[in-house]
Amino acid sequence: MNTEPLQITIAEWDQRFVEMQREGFFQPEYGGQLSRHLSDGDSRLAKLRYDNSPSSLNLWNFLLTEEDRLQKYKQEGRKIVGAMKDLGTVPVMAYSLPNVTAFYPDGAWWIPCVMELNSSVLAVADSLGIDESFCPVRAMLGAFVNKAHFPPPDLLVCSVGATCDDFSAIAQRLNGLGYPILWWEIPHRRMAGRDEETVILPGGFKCSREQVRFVEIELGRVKKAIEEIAGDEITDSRLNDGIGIANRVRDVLRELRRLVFTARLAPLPSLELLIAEMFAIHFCSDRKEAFNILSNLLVEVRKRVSEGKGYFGLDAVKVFWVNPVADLRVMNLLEDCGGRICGTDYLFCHALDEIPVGVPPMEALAMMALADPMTGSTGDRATRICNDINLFGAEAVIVSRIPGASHCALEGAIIAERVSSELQLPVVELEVPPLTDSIMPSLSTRISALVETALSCRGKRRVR
Amino acid sequence: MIVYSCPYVPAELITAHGLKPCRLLPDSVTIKGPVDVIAGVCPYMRGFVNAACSLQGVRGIVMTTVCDQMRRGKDFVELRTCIPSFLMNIPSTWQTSEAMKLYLSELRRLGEFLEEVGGRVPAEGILWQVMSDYDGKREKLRGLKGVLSPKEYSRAIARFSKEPGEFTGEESCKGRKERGKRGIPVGLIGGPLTLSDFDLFDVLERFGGEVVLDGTESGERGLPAHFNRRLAGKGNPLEELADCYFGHIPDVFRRPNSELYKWLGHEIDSCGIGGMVLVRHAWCDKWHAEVQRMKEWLNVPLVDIELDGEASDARNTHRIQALMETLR
Repeated sequence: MNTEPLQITIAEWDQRFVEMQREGFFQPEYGGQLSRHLSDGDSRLAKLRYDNSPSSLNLWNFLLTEEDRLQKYKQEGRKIVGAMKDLGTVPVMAYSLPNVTAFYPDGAWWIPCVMELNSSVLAVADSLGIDESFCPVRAMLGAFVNKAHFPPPDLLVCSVGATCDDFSAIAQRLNGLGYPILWWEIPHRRMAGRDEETVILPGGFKCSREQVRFVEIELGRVKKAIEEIAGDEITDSRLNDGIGIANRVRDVLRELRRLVFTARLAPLPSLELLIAEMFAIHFCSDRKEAFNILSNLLVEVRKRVSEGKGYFGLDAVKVFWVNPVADLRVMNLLEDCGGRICGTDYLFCHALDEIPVGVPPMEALAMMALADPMTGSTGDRATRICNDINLFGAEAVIVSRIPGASHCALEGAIIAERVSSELQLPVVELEVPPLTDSIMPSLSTRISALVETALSCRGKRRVR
Repeated sequence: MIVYSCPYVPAELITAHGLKPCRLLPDSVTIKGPVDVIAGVCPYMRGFVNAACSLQGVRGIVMTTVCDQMRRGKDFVELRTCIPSFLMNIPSTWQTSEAMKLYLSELRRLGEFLEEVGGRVPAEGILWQVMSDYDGKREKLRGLKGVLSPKEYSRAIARFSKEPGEFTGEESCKGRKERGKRGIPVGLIGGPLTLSDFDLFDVLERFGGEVVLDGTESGERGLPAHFNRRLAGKGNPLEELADCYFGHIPDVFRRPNSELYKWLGHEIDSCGIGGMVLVRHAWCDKWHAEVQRMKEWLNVPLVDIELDGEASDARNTHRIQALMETLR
């Protein structure tokens, strides 16, 4: 069997799957041919190209079977927590109890991409007055109403305050339709004032001790609500264990990212790395298996790096990507245009940082929540991006705008200004809707121009 | 002068620090300044930031977290100007004592900012005095409802907000009596108006309507509750400020925002409103998302008007005309 890294189509994966079976590769419970998801309506999969490693196959199958997993848990009587917006904090708490699973209904924003026009989620959102002027996360509203994508959660919690307006507005619409929501406040992160103690957060941002204390109390309300539905107590000991496991997942992801960003040849395409990073926020509804999959992927990547194998050639331009794409196909496009991923901020980079240990666990989670790049100023976020660019050596930056998102129109300009002025790197902004087919030529032109610009800058001294 | 836009920033605190509060409604939302014309940017936020930065004598700009666009507008002030700016956390949640405590602590922080930009520490009793003074002025202001024309009344609120120290409440209503109803009673609800948006009152009047409720952020809805003057000199004035501002101004950004609906329901009944006009700026997600819900919830018809920073357009005029026709 060919073990050279190769991006293959879904049809080619089917052939390869047969060969793997013949050779006795173990398939987990959620495993199988990728093409079977096409019959579930996930038609976008036919237009993507995939890494050909068995680890990547497991990654995809695990991702694409999350709905089944949640339905099964619900039938088994496990309690389901729908965590909204905080991206990475509440699930750590929820998974600390043995009979609770947490997921992000926010993830429904990829339904219009993965299912193309086979899902009614956007039409339902339209019918409820949430039209295309909103961020694609409006798909979540449709998914709640059509009940076709995840079971009704036993508890819905949503962070508000320093969050994007789209999400807050859509969650309120959901609440107005009769879905009870526990709102918890995440204040805009700020520096300590006079006579206040400064706390350094994971990722390096700073805030006041007072803010950490406030968020700890807010998370305490969430904890209590989870305990009530579960009929069980989240003790500090359980929470510390939960934080420990989350940190192990984050350790694996950080190493995976480091290798992918810094290896001479890219050992993994950007699409698979994006999926892997997403596992950090809620473990794709199965913490143990998420860890196994990521660990296996890391083994594969290490092997490739040690053997000098990889993708896209030595000349591929290293690109830092800001914001998640609504259409997964654009990650393939980056590489088609001569780029490779070298640093990401998909709005949940705080979920990749180590959760502080050695402090009371609720305080650690509060620090985690406040480390969210969205809760602070765009200047903070730009600083972290510049630090990561320096760390990994990116040569160009793409700021991917989310259509309709309240933050994107403003922060893109500031991030671009900072990157250009501090690092003298080329930056482009792209708007990526859930389906980019009609604008693929213009996206391709813009990415290619960025790559060409970065290539022409190579070897030239940066003027600071 | 301290410039701000949000109704949750108490003018009293600024005045008590010896500075001049100015709750600014931009004249036009297309002027040049730190915020460029970018697709997806709220024209009101752009207009406010650009107008605030162009004023002479500005010691500081206060922005708040009631909307993401304003929150990020602060980044532009910080990055592209030398004007000191302050971002005040206004909690979205309100059902816990912690939310009120956070607002209170933000008032204290605002006080520190005011001192940093040249304000003086208020002497004992000064804040209560200012609160009492402004409360009296607001009482007079509220008394102008039904005496002034709806447009004049809303402009009087804007004038008071811009220069509360100068407002007497007498100059505009001398010799005038209760006007009486002159058209079909209509209510406005929504985000803040720019000065040019006041043309909406004329459009409504032209088609037979009369605004009996200005529920926009810059109108009656944004006024704080009466202070409890019996507490003057006894209790903590900041706590009273917090209660009357944070505890009483209903708004769309609250989570949940049920108090806004409760307030609106009460006003519609008490004013005998026959139809509503929801005013929202382009890219304002929070008001936009409420349009359909409000239509489902209200027992009077509602049309929504999107303001894009230009003069009122034909589409909005036709929508208002159609609403008024249905109400006749």
